[in-house]
Amino acid sequence: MLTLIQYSRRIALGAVLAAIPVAASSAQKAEARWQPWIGCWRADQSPTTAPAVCVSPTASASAVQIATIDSGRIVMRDTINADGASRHVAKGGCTGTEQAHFSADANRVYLRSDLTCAGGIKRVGTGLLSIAPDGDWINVQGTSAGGNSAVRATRFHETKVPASELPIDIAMVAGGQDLSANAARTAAGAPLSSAAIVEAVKELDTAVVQTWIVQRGTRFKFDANGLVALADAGVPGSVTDVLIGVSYPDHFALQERSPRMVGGNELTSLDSARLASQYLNSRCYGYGGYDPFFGSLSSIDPCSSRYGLYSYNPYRYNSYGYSPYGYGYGYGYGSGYVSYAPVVVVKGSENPHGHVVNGHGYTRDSGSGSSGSYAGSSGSSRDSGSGGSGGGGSASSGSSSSGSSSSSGGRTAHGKP
Amino acid sequence: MSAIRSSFVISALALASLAPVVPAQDMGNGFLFGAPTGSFVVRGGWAMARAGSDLFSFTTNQLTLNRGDFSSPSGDIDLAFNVTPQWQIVASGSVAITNRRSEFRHFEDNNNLPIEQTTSFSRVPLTLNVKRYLTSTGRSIGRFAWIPSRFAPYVGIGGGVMHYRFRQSGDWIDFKTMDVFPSEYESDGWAPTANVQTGVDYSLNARFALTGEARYVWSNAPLSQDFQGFQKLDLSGFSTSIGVAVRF
Repeated sequence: MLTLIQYSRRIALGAVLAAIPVAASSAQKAEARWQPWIGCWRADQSPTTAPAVCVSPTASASAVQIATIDSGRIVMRDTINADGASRHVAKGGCTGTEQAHFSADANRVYLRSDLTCAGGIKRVGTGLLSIAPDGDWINVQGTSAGGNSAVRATRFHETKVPASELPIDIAMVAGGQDLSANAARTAAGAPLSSAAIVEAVKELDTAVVQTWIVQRGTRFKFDANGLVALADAGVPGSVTDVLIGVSYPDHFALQERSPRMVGGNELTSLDSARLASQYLNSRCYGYGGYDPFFGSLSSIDPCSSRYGLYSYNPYRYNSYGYSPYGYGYGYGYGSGYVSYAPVVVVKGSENPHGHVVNGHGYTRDSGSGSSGSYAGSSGSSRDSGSGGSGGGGSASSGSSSSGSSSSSGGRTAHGKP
Repeated sequence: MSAIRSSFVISALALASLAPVVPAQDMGNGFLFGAPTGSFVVRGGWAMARAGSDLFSFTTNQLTLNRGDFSSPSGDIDLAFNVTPQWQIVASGSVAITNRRSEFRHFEDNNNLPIEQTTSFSRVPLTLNVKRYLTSTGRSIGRFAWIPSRFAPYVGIGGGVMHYRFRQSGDWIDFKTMDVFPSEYESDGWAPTANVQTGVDYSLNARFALTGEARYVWSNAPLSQDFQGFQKLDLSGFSTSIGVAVRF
């Protein structure tokens, strides 16, 4: 049942749409290269009630507005101007430049920001807007600071949002060209050439390119000569590894290092990244509070990583999925998951072997970050007394490794009554 | 003869049995999913015997044989493991067997028939070699692509043992009485050996390569009591072979 306000709003919207479509289209018309993105989107696997992300033209042909809309209200708004010009930004205690431009084939938009934050911390963000072969919008963004990096990828499906639920300015320009938009997306999702990969490597962090290749989800056709050409053109081996990984799925698997694998007693490079992010996070909070424009995200907001990594994002409605670092699924533009570049492994080696230790029991592989999590060695007198999985009655109570197996929130065991 | 064959067969099986131990390397279009662990090579060629010791001279003087008759086709197998991209440790086995009929050059029997005999000579070296490729054997791109070089010349050196057998059977002449009598003379055993080699691999694709090799072998061995007053038997010789290498 429509409320009076909603009803009034629809009437007003209809009137506006009927009255000024020509004027609007002439005043706000994105250049053809933006056409694949124009419209409304929702993050992959998100429910229809999740906020939508709408891309609409602006007065500048080279720029689009990206707005996250929830219940008819714009909760985040951002503008990307792909004119290639470097723009000065000063935000959240960081200053520097940002820049966006289209790829040579016009099928992708490269984003880059170079910022210096308080304390002299250099923060470089590179990102990519691209269209997948199935027409989805793939948004991959990477942030590097202090020698560490994190990558965020989000996949958006086109979604239909009733005009009544859209702000008027967006409703006027974000829809109504389905066939044209589909054609543009089909073209933009064309198979990648070697030149496109070489270009992406030059424009983006390696981890961003890797993640992008994985997110496209398509096999690549190449032979030895093609690989040599890529290598000679400067494509790093870590990228060709991913190319091979996705192209030979019978032989390789792609592994995301789950957040759960980060931590434990071992200080890995991922931990270093986490610590650096925590540091940046705290600094950013100190200077700027939250910034809803993570959407344009790493290219603009020097502290955007705080949303992705540790902080509370006020616009991550109804997020679901487990993420100990708070960057699990969300639905706003710029939300998504954070990863640290895909890891390609030979199939059959995905599951690391653990050990059975006499007197202790079963362990995971030490590289998993859960080292020392001997089952049955919990400090609980009930469990330790059982020695059920310890393999030896000497499994001591009060082991220093206790608790690691029960802190994940996953499947646990306990003694029989 | 059966002992020689057995030793070679056993050696071949032993070497071949090692290959499956190494997991098979899958391949893409023109590349392997990683640098190869090694290669298994089968070659065939010609083993020229130097035949430089006095027993060969005596034999060729008395019988209708020449030094070339002690040369023979050969079969070789190598099982190579990469130590570095350009260095390999290679276990090699080879066999060269010749079997020639002859008669006394200067004598015949009382029926004017030739006095015939058979001479067989076999050499089976089993060696461990160090092989050095003179150019890059291939190019690794990332962790999951290894593209072989088209040509990869190499040199090598090695040593080991050689089983040999020199056997003559048939009719013979007692030069004191000129009686013709049947008999056989044999000397066999193991002798140390050393060799140097050079060759080139020509890659057909990422998995297979044609390979050609030239090798010189040094070895000599004492003769059995059947042959008295002779120098050590010269087992040295030059060999050439071509074959196929399978990378794994």
